Amino acid sequence: MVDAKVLLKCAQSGNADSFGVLYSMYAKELYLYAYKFLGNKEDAEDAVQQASLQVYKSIACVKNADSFKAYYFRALSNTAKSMLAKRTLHTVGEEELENAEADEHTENQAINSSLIEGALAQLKPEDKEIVLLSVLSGFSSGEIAKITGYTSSTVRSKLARALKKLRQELEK
Amino acid sequence: MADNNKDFKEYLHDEMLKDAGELPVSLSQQNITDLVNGTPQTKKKGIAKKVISIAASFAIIFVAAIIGIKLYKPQVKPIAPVEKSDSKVYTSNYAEIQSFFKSLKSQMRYEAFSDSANINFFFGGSRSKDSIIEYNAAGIAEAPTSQSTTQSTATASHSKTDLQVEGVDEADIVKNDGKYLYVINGTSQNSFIIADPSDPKNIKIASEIELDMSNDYNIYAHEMFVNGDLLIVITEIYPRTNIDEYRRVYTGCYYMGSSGEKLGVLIYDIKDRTKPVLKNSYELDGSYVTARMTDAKLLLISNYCVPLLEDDKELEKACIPSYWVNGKQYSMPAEKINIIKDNKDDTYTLVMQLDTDSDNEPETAAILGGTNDVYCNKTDLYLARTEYEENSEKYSVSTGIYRFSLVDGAQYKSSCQIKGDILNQFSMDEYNGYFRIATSDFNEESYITVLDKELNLVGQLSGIGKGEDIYAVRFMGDTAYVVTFYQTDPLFVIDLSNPEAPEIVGELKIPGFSNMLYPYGENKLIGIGVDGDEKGSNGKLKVSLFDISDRKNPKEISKAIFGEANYSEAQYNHKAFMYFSDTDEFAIPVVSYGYDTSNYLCSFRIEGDKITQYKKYEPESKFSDIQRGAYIGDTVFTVSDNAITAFDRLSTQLLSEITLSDITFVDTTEPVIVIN
Repeated sequence: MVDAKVLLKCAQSGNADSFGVLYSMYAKELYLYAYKFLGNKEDAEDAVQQASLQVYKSIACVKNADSFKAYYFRALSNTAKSMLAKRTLHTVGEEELENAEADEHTENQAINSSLIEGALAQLKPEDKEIVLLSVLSGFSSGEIAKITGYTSSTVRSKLARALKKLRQELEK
Repeated sequence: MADNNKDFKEYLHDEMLKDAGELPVSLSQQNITDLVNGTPQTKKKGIAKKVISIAASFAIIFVAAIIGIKLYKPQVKPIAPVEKSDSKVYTSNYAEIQSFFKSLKSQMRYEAFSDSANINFFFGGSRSKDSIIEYNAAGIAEAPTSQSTTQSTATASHSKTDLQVEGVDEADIVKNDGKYLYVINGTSQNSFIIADPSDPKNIKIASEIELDMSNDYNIYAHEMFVNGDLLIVITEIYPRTNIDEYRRVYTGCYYMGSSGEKLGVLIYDIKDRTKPVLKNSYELDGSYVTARMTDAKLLLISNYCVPLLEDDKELEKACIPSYWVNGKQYSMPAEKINIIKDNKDDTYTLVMQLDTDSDNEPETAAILGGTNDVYCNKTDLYLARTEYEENSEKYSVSTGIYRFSLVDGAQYKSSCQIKGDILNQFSMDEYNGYFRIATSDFNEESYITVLDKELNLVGQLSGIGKGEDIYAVRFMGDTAYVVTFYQTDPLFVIDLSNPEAPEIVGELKIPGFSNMLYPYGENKLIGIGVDGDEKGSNGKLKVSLFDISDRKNPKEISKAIFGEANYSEAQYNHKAFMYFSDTDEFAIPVVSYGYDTSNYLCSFRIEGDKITQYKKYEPESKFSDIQRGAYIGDTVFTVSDNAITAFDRLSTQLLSEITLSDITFVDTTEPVIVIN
């Protein structure tokens, strides 16, 4: 098992294979995050690919292997938010529900999951971002703070409010 | 269904994981490898630096444990009155402070935390913009370019940093003294320039200073002050990450704390603008929170999170905050270190005051408990700290306020805790001997609390904007303007002339909301925010003009709404708002959030009761967003991370542009050009 430090140095020197290995450590989480944030699989694939290109291009500024995951998520989070902003104007809730319905897998999802998607859709994008970063990728509030630019106490309070709201939605 | 947060999160996690299915083929390791292969990478000089624009302040406050203060009525609780006998505050000697931290270490070690020896990462980058969608200007007439609007004056009027308190300067990435522009190089982040715009058709760089990166640390220029012939640069200093050395020192340490991070101040004599001369340098443990400058006196505030090191001897050193004067290290005196006994916290707020125009020793003070935001006037400093408590069913947030008197060196005076959290520095104000603060409690309701200077409760108004959140606050003398929002924007006008009984005297309900309110003359307010309709916000950037001459009847008398996908830094950062002091105009930077390349400084003119015209100052260099506008006389400037552009103020014609960086950033479809 190659040391992540070494992989990072190689990736920084232009070795795409090393980058691929680093990517594979978080691939599923990245995809899951994008999918839950954007609501459909095509957009999620798009977002992960775009973010991967960005990360690879600017990988010189990742200071150490431990920062890599958060750096990747930050790029992905910004890409996903840009994509969201470019969609036609409706409140976020309507967007998410429309896309969720259009998704061909909707019928196959457990009732629970589409309820969760609906509840997530009620959140403001910045709150959804924080919930997903915390729930899906297990980032601590300090790490989320670095990714989003909020202070960690703001992250904690936004997270608490968002989780509370989700529970209220799901308990309806 | 889980009945506490941790279980709920696990539940969400498991459900979402189940639902996602397999990783699509397009995102397989091989496909991503092929995708990136051959893409040119951005190379940087020296060690890896921040690519993305603006250094955000690293106020990582580590509030470890539950504070243990219960929610109760009244909504203000004194935390640590400084009394002689039953003092809840330690300000005694090093041995007591050290034993406090050693005991903290053993208590905190068993708290639930991710990994021990988790190496703190130090990348920076721009604060992520809230997802406000962006737009092109529409609805207000574009000003005809040949119109003359200003009368020229003998001494050129020029822009200044927007301040919360007059006479108390705030640091910024751009400063303007009417003759020169002082700019932090936003791309490299470790240099700053003094630009000579005396010939606007040919802006020159009078000097460029690159900060010295020795082998041991990375140093970044963050913000500046300019006072006469002194340039004061505030820096952030990070030790280079040597993983093995880290592991040696920090093994067993469950949280890295500030890990050697320091706040720095460099004071340059700039009598000769082409040759700044470093006079003094100072450093303080911790990460930068903010700074203020009153006359020649500089005030710096940092958060220093003590690494709870395994080795007791190392911990004894680390838990006493240090400061440096021209490279020489000093420990903060024990009597200036305030440990609040009830705070089970490992983060200090450090305060340093120094005279920039002399070699006098700096004065320092510390208090246990980090800081989120600060209100500072000429005599007093109020530190605000968001305190968050979570137990199984209830979430609560409150704000701890710590007051320091500044008159005779920073002296801790009193503290209290208030229900709800603040939005930003404008949530606080001191007036006529009273401290006023607006807080908001989890989309339930908001409060205005009035305290005396000992932070005893004088009066409180609760129930403001039930079900909504505070989006903007501005205190102006006896009145507070509060914007709350959930679906519509009530702008509340609150009368504070009787400190014991603040009351709502006026209310305005309009769609959308303002994020920031700016006073305009005696009777008007400008709101920068987002438009909406009856369903809620529609995401369009909006500039509102409010008439507040009749407090019972605040009115939105005019507005400008932008088209699709625009955002302005002035929604969240008052320093991005520019007043023209010689006419009825103001300007904000507008940048696009989507693929559109709009990136300009937009000025507006107010005539009587209306916003009548706008002008766009659009630089050629679009690689990074405009952070600030500035003006000197008839020339307007835009400053982005890598360019300063000069325009004719009346005609908006671009006169000249200089780029600051040696790296050209391009979007993903074009090859990167590296200029060495």
